[in-house]
This record gives sequence, structure tokens and C-alpha cells, in this order.
Amino acid sequence: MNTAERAYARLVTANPIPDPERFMATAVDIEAALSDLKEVDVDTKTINPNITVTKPPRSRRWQVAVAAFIAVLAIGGGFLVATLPGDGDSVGDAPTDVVNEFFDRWNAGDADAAMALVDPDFSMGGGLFAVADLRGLIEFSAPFDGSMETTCSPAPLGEGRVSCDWEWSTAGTRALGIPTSSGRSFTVTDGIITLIVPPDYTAFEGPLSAFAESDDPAGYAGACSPDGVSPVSSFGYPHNQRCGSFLAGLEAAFVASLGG
Amino acid sequence: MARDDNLFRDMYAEHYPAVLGYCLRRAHRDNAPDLVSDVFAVAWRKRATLPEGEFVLPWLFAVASRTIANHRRTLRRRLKLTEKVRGLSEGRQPGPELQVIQRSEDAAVIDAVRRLRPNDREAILLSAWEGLSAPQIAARFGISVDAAEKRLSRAKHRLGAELTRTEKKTNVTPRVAKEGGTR
Repeated sequence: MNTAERAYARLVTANPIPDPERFMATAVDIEAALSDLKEVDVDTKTINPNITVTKPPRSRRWQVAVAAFIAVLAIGGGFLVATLPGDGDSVGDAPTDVVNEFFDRWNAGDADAAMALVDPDFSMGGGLFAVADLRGLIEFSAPFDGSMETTCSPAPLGEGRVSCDWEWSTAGTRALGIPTSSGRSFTVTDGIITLIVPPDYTAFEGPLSAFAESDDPAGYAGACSPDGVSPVSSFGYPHNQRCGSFLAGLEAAFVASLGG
Repeated sequence: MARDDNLFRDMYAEHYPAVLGYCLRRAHRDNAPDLVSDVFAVAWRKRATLPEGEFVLPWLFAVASRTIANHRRTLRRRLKLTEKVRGLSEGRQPGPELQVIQRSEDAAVIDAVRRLRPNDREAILLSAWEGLSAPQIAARFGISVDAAEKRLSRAKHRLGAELTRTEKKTNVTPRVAKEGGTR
């Protein structure tokens, strides 16, 4: 097998969604949680109710509407199934405790401690605004004057689900009113985080990094060059402490340039 | 029309997972179900003229590609700051928007595929992740099968070169990557 074929084989195994049908399990779980509406004939393999829902008696339609609304919220919010952590875990007994502790460690700037709560084979959700390197992101964000502000709670449709409002709050995002907050989800298995869906930082990172590159090209090239570093973020620079420090140092100037 | 409706139902049941997978790999998972619904809404409107057999799926992927692109444009419009700093943001939009639900040991190959040209990247991902054949990829791009095969071959060679270059520079080993430190 030559280099090209080996690379292709690795790409095949790197498929992030090898089995899309498992994501449809969410719909199955939701239906189970809504067992009082069991009589409704819903084909849980599909989401489009126009095709799969048998019209119920008129007296039940309001219940179906409520159930459908909740299901859409749950699917749209990306609520994920999580299991309780194992006994004796020093962090806490609930997935929410694990996630809260993870963010406490993140905000303390202790990437090693934070990553100790993350499965080595964890998965990271996020497409358009994908984060390629969680440890790097923790180190990247540490130099900024701010923190990851989160409010986590068990999701409403069953024990073990964790949902968080997650916002990267820095002096810059606050001054500029940049929306980086949104509901995000975690999967915690046996006390370890196995899946994280991070929020969208690009409205801040993109313009800030562009400003930095324009304001101090040499400094930017020295601190945020992708050369020799992998992986790079979606913006083409690495998420690491060095680049984070450089960008954080220009945050105030960036805000001032926008009149913020 | 009843025949078209039945064909659409069958098509929907058969291809929903594949289209969901396509969207999950390229858009945020929170948005994927809505994007899939939009794709099938287009298919529903055009159900009388849908391609047949193995060429339905590439057609759906082409619609999904445009739907995701429209979705991204909508997102960008919503970001007031992006508007405010339009000049600064030129050339600084997120790069190849791949879904990155990934294990850390896959980071190098994901990183390499990000560096490919857009058409090469789409072709190789349609083959590697969506399982399309060369004739299906040809249908997706509206090119000949021969051209699709060449594009795929070129993409594989470029991917190999990028991956080799990345790993030589970073000396990444799977063991280190698996510890969560992908650098």
C-alpha cells in the first residue's frame, strides 16, 4: 500500500460519524420518556412528522403537539444521553458534577487536570466552528481576561442527561456584546466526559486574529504560525498557549479599534 | 402523483441516515436535523424529477451541500460583529468546515484533508465517508466518470503528501495523540 492509499485508509477510519443511525437514537429515547403518549404511532426512525406520524384522535392532538415541541427542542438542543459516573469518583456522583468540575479546572488554567476528566478517546462535536484540539483550546483561552461561564444541569428528559449554557466570557466579548453563548451538551460515561459540543467562538476569534495579524504581522507569524504545529484551528492557526497569549495581549487594542 | 409520493417515501426511508450523516459531518450537530429536513423538502418539491437508483444519493448530497452553504451564509449574516468588522474578517472565515467529532488520533489526517482544495476534499470525503462510487461522485459534480476517478486519485495523492508533511513536522505519534494532547 503506497502513501496515498495509506492516507486514504486512515481517512476512512477517521470518519466522525461512521454510523449516523445512532444519532437517531435520541428520538427513540425521547419517545420512551414520553410514555404517557405511547398510543401515538410514531416511527422513530424518522424525524419528519408529516411522513411518519399517524394522526391521533382530535382530543389528543394538543398532547401530540406538546410532545413534538419538546422533542424538537430536545433534538435541536443536542441533549445527549449520559450515564452516571462510577462509585468512588472523587469529583462527584452526578454527570453534572463532572462537567462542573471540568470547567472549574479549565478556568483554573490547569489543562492536565481538566483533561483528566476527559476520556482519551473523547469525541468533539461541532462542525462549522469546529475545535480540533481540546487541550490546546484550554491552554489557548487561559491567557485571556475571562473564563468559561457555564450553567449545567441534568437535561429534563431523563436521568443522566447533561445540558449546559456555555459562554466564553472575556473582556472583549463582554465589551463588544459578542454572542458566544448557547446550549451545549455533554456525554459523561463512568465519571468521564466522552463527548463535548463546544459553542461558537468564531465571531470573536476570527476578527481578533485578523486584527492581530494586521496590527503585528511579525508577532502573529511568530506566535500563531501553523508551521510545525498540528492540528490547526478552523482559522488556520493553532489553539495553544503561545498563540492565545499573543492574541490576548491585543484584545484591548482590538476592542478599542472597534470603538467598544 | 401517488406513485411519486410512494417513491419519495421509499427514498426518504432509505437515504435519511446517509443524508443525516453527511450533514453531521459538515455542520453542527444541533443544526443537522433541520438541514436534513430542508434537503428532503427540496427533494419533495422535485419528487417528480428525482434521479433514479444509485444517483439519488449524490443528488441529495449536492442539495445538502448547497443547503449547508446557505445555512452558513445565514449564520454569518446574524453575526453583527462580522458585519462590523467585515474588512478585518476577509479571508478569516472558518476554513474547511468539516465536522470534527473526532478522536484525537485522527487529528493529523483531518488536518491534512483540511488543506486540500475544496473539490478534491469533497470528492475524497464522498468516497471515504459517504461511500460513493466514482460514477456517483461524477454525478455529484456533473463531470465524467473518468474525470471523477482522476479527481479522486489526485485527492488521494495530495492527502498522502499533506499527511506525510504534517507528521514529519510535528512528529505526532498515536500514543501522544491519544492522551488528549494532539500536539
